[in-house]
Amino acid sequence: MKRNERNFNNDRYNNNNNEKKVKLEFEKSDNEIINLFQNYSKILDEDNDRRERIVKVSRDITIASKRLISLLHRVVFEDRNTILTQAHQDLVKVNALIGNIIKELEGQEYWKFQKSFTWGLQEYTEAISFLYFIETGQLVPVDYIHDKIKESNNIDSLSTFSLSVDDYHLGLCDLVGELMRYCTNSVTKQKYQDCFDCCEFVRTIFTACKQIRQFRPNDSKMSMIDDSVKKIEKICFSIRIRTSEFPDKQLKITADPDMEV
Amino acid sequence: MNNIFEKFTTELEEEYQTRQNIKTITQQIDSVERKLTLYIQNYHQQQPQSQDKPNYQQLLKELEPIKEHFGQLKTLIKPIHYYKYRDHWKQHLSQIVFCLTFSNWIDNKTLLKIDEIQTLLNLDKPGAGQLSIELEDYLLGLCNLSNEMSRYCVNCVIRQDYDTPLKISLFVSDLFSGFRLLNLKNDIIRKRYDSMKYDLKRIEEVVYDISVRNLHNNTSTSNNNNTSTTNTENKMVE
Repeated sequence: MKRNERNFNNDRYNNNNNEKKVKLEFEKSDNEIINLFQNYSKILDEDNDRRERIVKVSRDITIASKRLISLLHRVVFEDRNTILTQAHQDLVKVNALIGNIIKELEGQEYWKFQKSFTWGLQEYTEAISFLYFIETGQLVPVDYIHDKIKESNNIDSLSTFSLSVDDYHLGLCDLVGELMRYCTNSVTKQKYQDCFDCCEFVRTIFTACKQIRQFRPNDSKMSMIDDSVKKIEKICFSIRIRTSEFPDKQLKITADPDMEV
Repeated sequence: MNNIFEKFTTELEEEYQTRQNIKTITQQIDSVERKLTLYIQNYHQQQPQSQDKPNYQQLLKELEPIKEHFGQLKTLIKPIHYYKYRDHWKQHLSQIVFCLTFSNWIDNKTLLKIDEIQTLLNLDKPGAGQLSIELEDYLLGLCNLSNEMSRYCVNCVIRQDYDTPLKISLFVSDLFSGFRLLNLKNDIIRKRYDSMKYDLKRIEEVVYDISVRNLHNNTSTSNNNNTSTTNTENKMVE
C-alpha cells in the first residue's frame, strides 16, 4: 500500500509540473484523449471488479470443496449413509457458489475469466469425483457434474459456463492424492477390497494421464500422481502377501512400519 | 471409464492440433508485425529533404496481409475459444497498435482510437465471442508509443525540427493524464505506465533545451531556410 501511495504522489507531482508547462507553452490542450480514457477507465473497472468478484467466489469454492473432501475421508470410519447424505447437502451449497460464477459469466467471455476461477473448479472436480467414486466406484462423467450444477441452481442451461477439459483433468490428478489417503485409511479398517478397487481405479487415471501428457505436458502433477500410485500399489502388494501367509486370520497390517505413509 | 478418457483424449488432441495451426498463422502475423516495426524505424532516420518519407498510407499497405491472417484465425477457431488462444497473438496486437498510432500521429497529429484500429484490421468490436483488439492490447500499444516518442523527439531535434517536440510533449502529457484516470491493478499495464513518466521526463528535457535557447521561435525561419535550400538544390539538379 505504501508503495502505491508514493507512486500516486509522484504522479501527482509530475502532473502539476506538466500542467504548468502546458499552460505556459501551448494555448489549447487536447481534451479528446481525456474523454477517451474516462471511457476506458470505466471498461477496465468493470472487468476488474468482475474478476475480483469471481476470484472471491472461486476461493469460497476451494474452501467448501476441501471441507467436503475431508468429510468424505471420514466415510471409512463412520456411518457411510450419514456421511453421504451430509456430503450431498454440502455439494448443493458448493454448486450454489458455482451458480454465482455462472451469473457473472452471463454475456461474458468464458476464457477471459477462466484463470480467475480455475483453482476453485479444480478443487470442486476433485471433491465431486471423490464423492462419485465412493458412491459408485466409477469415474465421474463431465455431464454428471454439469447436471448436478444445473439441478442445485434450478437452471436449464449453464449459458457460457462449462467445466473445461483442463480443469477436469487437473482435478482428477488431485483426486489421486486423495485416493491414496483413502486407501491407507481403508487399510487401517481392514477394508481390503476397497483398497484393491481403489488401486484399479487409480491405475486407469494414471495411464490416461500418461496418455494425455503428449498434448499437455504437466510434469509436476505427474510425479505427484506417480508417487501416490506407487504407494497404493505397495499397500495392495502387502495386503496380498500378508493375507496369503495367514489365509484364515484377520491381519493388522498397519502395525508394520513399512506401511506408514 | 476408459470411454470417458478416450473422448477426453481426442478433445485434447484436437486442441493440440488447433494450437499448432494457430502457431503457423501467428508466425505470419509475426512477420508482418516485424515489417511494420522496421518501417517505423524509417521515421527516425528520415532526412528533411528525402523524397520517400515514411508515411501512414504506406504503412497501411504493409498492414494489408494481416487482415487475411486474422480472417484465417477466425475460421480456424470457434468464437467461444478466441479468448482461450489469445495469448498466441496478443503481443503482436499491441505492437501493431503501436506502429499504427505512431505513424498516424506523426502524419495527422491525432490519436487513433481503438475502434478505428479495429476497423483498419477488419476486426469486430470487443465483446463476447469476438476476435478483437482488447483494451489491454491497445493500452500497451500506447505505452510503447510514448516510449518511442521520447526517442523520436530527440531525433527531431537532430534534424532541426524544433516544432514537433513541443507537440509531442503536449501529446504525451495528455496521454499520461489519460492513463492516470485508469484504476490499474498490479499488472503489466501498470508497470508500463509507471515507466511512462520517464519517457515524459525525457521529452520535457528536450523541450526545455529547445525553450531555453528559444529555438522553437525560430522554427519558421529555419524551415524557410530549409525549403529554400532544397529549392536551390532542386534547381541545381534541374
